[in-house]
Amino acid sequence: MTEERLRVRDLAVRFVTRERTVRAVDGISFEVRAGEVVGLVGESGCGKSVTSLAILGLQEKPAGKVTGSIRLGDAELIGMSEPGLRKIRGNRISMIFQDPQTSLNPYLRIGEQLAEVLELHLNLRGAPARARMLEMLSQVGIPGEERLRAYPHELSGGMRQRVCIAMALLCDPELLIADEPTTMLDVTIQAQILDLLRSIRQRRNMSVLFITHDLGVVSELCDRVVVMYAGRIVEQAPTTQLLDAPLHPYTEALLGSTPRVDVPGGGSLRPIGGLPPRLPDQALTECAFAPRCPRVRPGCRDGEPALVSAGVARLRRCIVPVEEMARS
Amino acid sequence: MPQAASVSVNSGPQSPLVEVSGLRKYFPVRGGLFGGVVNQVRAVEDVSFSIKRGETLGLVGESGCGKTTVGRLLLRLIEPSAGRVRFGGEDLATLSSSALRQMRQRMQIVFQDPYSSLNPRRTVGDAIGEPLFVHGRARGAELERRVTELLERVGLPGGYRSRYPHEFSGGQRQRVCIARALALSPELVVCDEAVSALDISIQAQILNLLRDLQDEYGLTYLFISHNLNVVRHIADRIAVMYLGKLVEEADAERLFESPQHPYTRALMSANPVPDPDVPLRPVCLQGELPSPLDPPAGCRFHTRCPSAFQPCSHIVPEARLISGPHTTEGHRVWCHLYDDAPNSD
Repeated sequence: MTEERLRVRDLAVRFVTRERTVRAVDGISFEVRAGEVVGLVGESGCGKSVTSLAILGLQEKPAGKVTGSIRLGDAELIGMSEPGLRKIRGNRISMIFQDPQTSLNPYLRIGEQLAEVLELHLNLRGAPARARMLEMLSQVGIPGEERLRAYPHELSGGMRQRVCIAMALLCDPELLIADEPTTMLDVTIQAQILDLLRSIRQRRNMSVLFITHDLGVVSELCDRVVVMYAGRIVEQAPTTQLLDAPLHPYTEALLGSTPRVDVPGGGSLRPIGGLPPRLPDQALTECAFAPRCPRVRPGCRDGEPALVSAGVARLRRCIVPVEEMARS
Repeated sequence: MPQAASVSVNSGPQSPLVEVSGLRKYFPVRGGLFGGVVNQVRAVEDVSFSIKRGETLGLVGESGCGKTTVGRLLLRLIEPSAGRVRFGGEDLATLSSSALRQMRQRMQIVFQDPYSSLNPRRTVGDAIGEPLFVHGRARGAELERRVTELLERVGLPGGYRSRYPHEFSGGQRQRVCIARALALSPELVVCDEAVSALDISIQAQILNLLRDLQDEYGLTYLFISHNLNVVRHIADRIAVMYLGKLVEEADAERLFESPQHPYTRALMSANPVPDPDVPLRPVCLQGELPSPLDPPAGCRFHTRCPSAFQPCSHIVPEARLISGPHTTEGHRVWCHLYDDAPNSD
């Protein structure tokens, strides 16, 4: 396939606290190719947001320790100097967050915030900068010069998220990291934003790492999915295959506990028993999902299964035979 | 042009537990030099519905549509500007404060955020036992026994009663809130986005728990949510709100099979489905919600409606009854597209 834009290898993020060292992300590897949308899926505390912050070098220091390799094109991001990272952030990688309210400065007009990005990153001022801002705003569906003079509080949640997307795209990044960008929005607004991301990605051949807990959103936007649990990848597959025939019991259980409108009666919910895992502070001696897994068997307790290939472009971390998974 | 209040749709042999008619709530906006009322937020306008005993009514809509306000009006946590709420045949507005307190034992609420709805300085046993104590239902060893029983009923070990909220996960806290709501054996429980803050796997656990409890105790639910998937899973009937007004109400099955109001259709098509075989739907709703300070005249949805035509901008649509398969109850819709259908009032 096409070139790899982002290549993450053995990424680990540890937080050292007085009591213990928490392994928030424990040796994950994946890549995002040019023009590809990859979904990073999991529930709270699985390490998906920590992963995205690590890619941008935004890990809290000194508590957060990041090891492994993150390559953007030819550049290695781990261990890169702060001025080096600053050239990459906002230029080559941009990020949008869940809450557009807190990612905009409430005291500055939209135009001033966009202008700052252009001045810092592209050294663009005056009329050319203004033209670029207007073009970008109209691309995200906010036409009209008067919006440049608006303050964030004058815009609705959906509009603010559009402004954040416009800001993220100003410097034409190679990679956009979107951390639950539609979670706080109403469904009709969410549909508009997803549609916008689809069209931008097509127009610009931009790569997107889309972080979410919602498999419905994944189905509508992503080409491939990486499923995380307890700081590790448990399954990785093209979206269609993952949703049609999950090969890890956790993915299967997530789908089983998602209520559906398209199934008469809403389908029956099969919740995952037990509680989300406490993040480990040492190497695991069993499968992380074993305590909650409906398909658990004796072998699951004999050390953590490896992430192995399961067909074309598919990986999974489970010892239950593939045929048995497919039968359900 | 307010409609005549009506609950005739549900006058079956089984009397409804809750009857709401012509409910309205305006919140004053103060401002100006002397802090006078300069405007009004029209949060709820002329809402009528009823809930039968043992039934779950799902109230669906996007943020700011007034669904939470309806829930609070139902429990008389806030006073309505107009309209009536009858609970078990009694008009809540006419009750004295002591009679209202007695009545409140029969109705409870579970909120969205289990973090802010439990006192962090009190054990969960205290939280669950307090309603029993306040209403003089139990004391001492009996109280402790009841609390243990309630904890076990919602799937937590009884021994957890001496723990504090911070020792629990979000899902466990929501179980505690449900146990507290059940302590006085209520007839009605209002669930206001009760599972929205929970992870998917935990959300499914709580939904199943709510269903089991309903079967066991014959509870009646008003289930308020923005999430269509969740509502479909739990509700028998669904009412859809837009900008303070009901736009459609029908059996859950029926509503999902043949939504009639353009807004309901838009909501459903915007709802993402985790199935790659479901084709992408075109985005059919543009623009944003108008301000409830100055809602559009006529049908409140006409400014965004893909099917709007001549009368929509100035005539308020009345409730119409739609007939069709699976209509065991009335399928009501407030839309000028159905002006030929019989009036439901």
